[in-house]
Amino acid sequence: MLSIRFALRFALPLIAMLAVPAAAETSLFGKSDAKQDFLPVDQAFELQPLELRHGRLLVGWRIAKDYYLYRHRLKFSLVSPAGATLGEPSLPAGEKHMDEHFGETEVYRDLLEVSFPAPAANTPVQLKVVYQGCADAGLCYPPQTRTLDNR
Amino acid sequence: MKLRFASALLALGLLSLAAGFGAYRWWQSGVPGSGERRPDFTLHGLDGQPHQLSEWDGKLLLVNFWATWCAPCLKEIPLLVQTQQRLAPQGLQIVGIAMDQVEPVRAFSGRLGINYPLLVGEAEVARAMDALGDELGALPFSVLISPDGKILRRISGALGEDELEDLLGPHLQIQ
Repeated sequence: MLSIRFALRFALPLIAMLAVPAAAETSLFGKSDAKQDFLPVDQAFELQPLELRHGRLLVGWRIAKDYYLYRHRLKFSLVSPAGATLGEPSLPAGEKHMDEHFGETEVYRDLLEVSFPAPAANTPVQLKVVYQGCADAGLCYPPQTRTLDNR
Repeated sequence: MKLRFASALLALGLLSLAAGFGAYRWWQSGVPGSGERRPDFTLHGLDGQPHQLSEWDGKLLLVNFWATWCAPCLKEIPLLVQTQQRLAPQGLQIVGIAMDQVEPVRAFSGRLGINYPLLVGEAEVARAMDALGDELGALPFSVLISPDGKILRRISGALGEDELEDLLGPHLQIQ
């Protein structure tokens, strides 16, 4: 009986002390107590593997619904082969996007595929891409830099 | 005797569970949760001087992370400017922290008429966001901190007028 009393007096209050704030933290006022759920950047803008197709390098993004990438924020540079130059990217037409501070810009939604002339046939390529986008609900991700290779 | 042994075993089990759960929480919480004390950090202001977050202890502090390349951040700022002016007498202090370079921030500060202190930086601002519990690394990100330094709320995304009222209302000093 002593042990039951011990459990009631010490162990259970200890559990409550630890568990209640933890439960509150993860549900009511949790660390992500954002007013709505936004996606992590790599889910919002899912970068596809670098492909070599018909003599062209292809890089693409699957863009989540209600998210967009800015055309003018896209940057591409060749990391390797050393000394090779990257040709002009072929970009599809985007959607016109009007912003109070930035004026008219162009954005991409759903799917974006950019292609370049391949620097050399059967050569491993490393491409650095920089991109930046936002959610329609009012959130922007800082510019992201990723390096892709076709090996 | 058997009952006593079973009870002792139960108590021991519960204690172990509690200890394990406590250890898990401690391991999980690299950053403070709501209601916990905010970390302190130092960032440079637009005035070129270092400022610590604790400088604003004693005020209801709304820390707003933004950047000049972030359209929803720029859209939100006029509301913050108006709110700072209106609610300063009730103890509100907004501090803007820009993930950016000094010159564009200075230009936008003038253009938007920002009437609250601005701190500026790049990697160090990303670290400050992280320390305050940001999980997305995206902007705007706002954190409401009580006058005694406890984290009250974190919000990812731009705030509207009603949301800001609901956020601040319960914590303002009644005049």
